[in-house]
Amino acid sequence: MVQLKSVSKPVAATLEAAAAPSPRKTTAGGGGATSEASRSARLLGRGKSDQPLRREFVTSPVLETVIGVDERVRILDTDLAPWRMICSLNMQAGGGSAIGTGWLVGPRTVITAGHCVFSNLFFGGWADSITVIPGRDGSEIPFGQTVATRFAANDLWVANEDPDFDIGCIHLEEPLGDTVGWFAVGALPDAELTDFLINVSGYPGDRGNGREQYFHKNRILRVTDRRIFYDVDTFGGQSGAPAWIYPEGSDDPLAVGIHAYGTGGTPSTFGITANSAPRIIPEVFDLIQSWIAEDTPAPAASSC
Amino acid sequence: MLSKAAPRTVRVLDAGGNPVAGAFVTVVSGSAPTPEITLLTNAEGRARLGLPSGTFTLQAQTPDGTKATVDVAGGESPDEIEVRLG
Repeated sequence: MVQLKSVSKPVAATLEAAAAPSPRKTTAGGGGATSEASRSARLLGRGKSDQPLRREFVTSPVLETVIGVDERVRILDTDLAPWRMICSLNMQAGGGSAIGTGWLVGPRTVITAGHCVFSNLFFGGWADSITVIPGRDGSEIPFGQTVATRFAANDLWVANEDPDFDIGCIHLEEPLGDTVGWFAVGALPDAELTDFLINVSGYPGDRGNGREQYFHKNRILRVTDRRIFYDVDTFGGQSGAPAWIYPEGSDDPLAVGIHAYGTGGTPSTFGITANSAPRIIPEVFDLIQSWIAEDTPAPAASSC
Repeated sequence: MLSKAAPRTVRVLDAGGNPVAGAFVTVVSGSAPTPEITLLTNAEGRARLGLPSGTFTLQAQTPDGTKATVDVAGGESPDEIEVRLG
């Protein structure tokens, strides 16, 4: 069993005690914004499938992360769930900048890839600041934006930049999740994950300049101890996007991974062409719970 | 591990050799895991990135869609990676 420890960007902060252990599945938040059903929701992959979704292949894929013909679809009603829970990220670090994707997991907690908050290779360490824009659609910013400066990752990412633990957190000062809602997260065993249709949506740099949300889905191809592999088209900028499923009978999006790598991250011995996400395993689940707890204000003291 | 990669600099230039600020730089193909982050070039047309050992293809794309790719050997190198558009 792997022990993971949270590592936070050095700022003055008081950590609240981590939440007590609980079943490894949280509940999604609907948010206070409209509950109008998204028309794009018809695109979502729900439940399991006996077969992967058919797709058109070319013999020589040009891009490693768009696998064959680009089947990503632009989401226009990003002001509706679940799309509004997904955030465009603009990172400023070390005199440079980058784009990525994050998603709400609680009122003040955004999950993303570890390399979006800490990277020796791209940032020379921690990001300086990240602008978080939930539900962005081009120049439309339906829920405003916030600039965050408090981040966290886990020790295995910060020490080794291990792709299996490429998971990070952005702590928000404003409870944006109370408006837009948030994803449930779950640490599911292999047997439960197998054959699920998985959804990935984020803000790529090749279409929309990191300002438009693009979505694709397909069946999970393979599950290892720490990663989920899928034949879902993505591109740079979608780092940190949620990889989520819909269990039978549920309309709540359940994140099971954090999209982070293109096909170069899939071992050739697997015999598959796939992108991948670090998997939400029990240790990662507990870490995410601790981040949510850290962002949960303490109840006001009674004056009685 | 990505920590064994070495940071380098990529520079995006236009057809006239002028630096292109605000270009999107992405690793679009590689023989080793590379994060799916996209970097933006600064006023000098430069962005910092690290590549582990292996071979990679970088793509630079301007906001108006002009793009170019370059094949790069990863690992440590003092050489700046140049991507020329147009």
